[in-house]
Amino acid sequence: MPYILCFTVNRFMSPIPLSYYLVVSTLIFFIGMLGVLTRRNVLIILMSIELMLNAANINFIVFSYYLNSLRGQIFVFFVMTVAAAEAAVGLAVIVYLFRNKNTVNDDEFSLMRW
Amino acid sequence: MSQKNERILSYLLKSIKYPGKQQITSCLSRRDTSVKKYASFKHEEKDLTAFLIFSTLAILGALLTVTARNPIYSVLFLAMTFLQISGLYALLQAEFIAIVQIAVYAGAIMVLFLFVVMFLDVKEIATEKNFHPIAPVCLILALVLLGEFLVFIFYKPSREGGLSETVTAVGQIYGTAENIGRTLFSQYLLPFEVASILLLMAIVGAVVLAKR
Repeated sequence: MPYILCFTVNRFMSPIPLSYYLVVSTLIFFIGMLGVLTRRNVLIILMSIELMLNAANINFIVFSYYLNSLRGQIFVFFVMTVAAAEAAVGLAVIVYLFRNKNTVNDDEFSLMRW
Repeated sequence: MSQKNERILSYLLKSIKYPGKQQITSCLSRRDTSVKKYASFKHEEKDLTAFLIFSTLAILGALLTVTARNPIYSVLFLAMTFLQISGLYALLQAEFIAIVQIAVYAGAIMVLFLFVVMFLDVKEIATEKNFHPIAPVCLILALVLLGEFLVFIFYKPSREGGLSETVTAVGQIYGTAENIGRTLFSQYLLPFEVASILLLMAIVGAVVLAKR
């Protein structure tokens, strides 16, 4: 009887399991990767990269919560810095390419292809 | 009735360890036990509901971002995804990161994207073919990787090991601005300064590229 009670209390009281968050971040990473692989629009490819970075950030925050450590959150802070820099430079490159080629389709950008 | 409940709970606490222990003991030590207990039960349920809402909307927004024809819709759905993810951070007691997520991602980066999408000619983009011809192959490869990730999450090498569904914890660390700031300016001061150099280089690079 106490065991059953404990089980029910446990089910109610326990916080959200770690694996739920991991599944969510995995799905978001998967969707982002799908965008990078299948889309032709360079802008959307850049957005998909942001999605993948965010999925990694979720993992950092979740593990920082479950390991009782602040390091994951510090790392997310730096990832955000890098993502902001990447977005700024990437968008500048896209504007530059659009001026030269007049398109954002990634099939057209074959200047460095062997 | 409440005394009986209290006795059962204290018995449980003595006999078996479980993650919510601290919360219940803190509730028991206060005066109005039954109300507090009930409140804490409701709190956990609310947490799970919020998690389900945030995660569902985040995944939905990500899917719509990738599949939308018009890049403007894509940007807006991406902003929605970022807001939901910031909600997930708030659930995990990372308050500072949640606010920074809204300010930097949903604010700055999304405005930048929106600006560029509007700056370029959208009509020409929207009528083109959206996906690569080899998209099904990519889908299969990505599905394989997804399966691998899920195996990694749910695989249990032994009875105790592995990240099973039962791994839970009560977070004791709050990612407030004070805590983050203390850590950032003492232990991680050098990376912080290096990040400023990185941002400077990004500014210079963006200006140089845009001015050509």
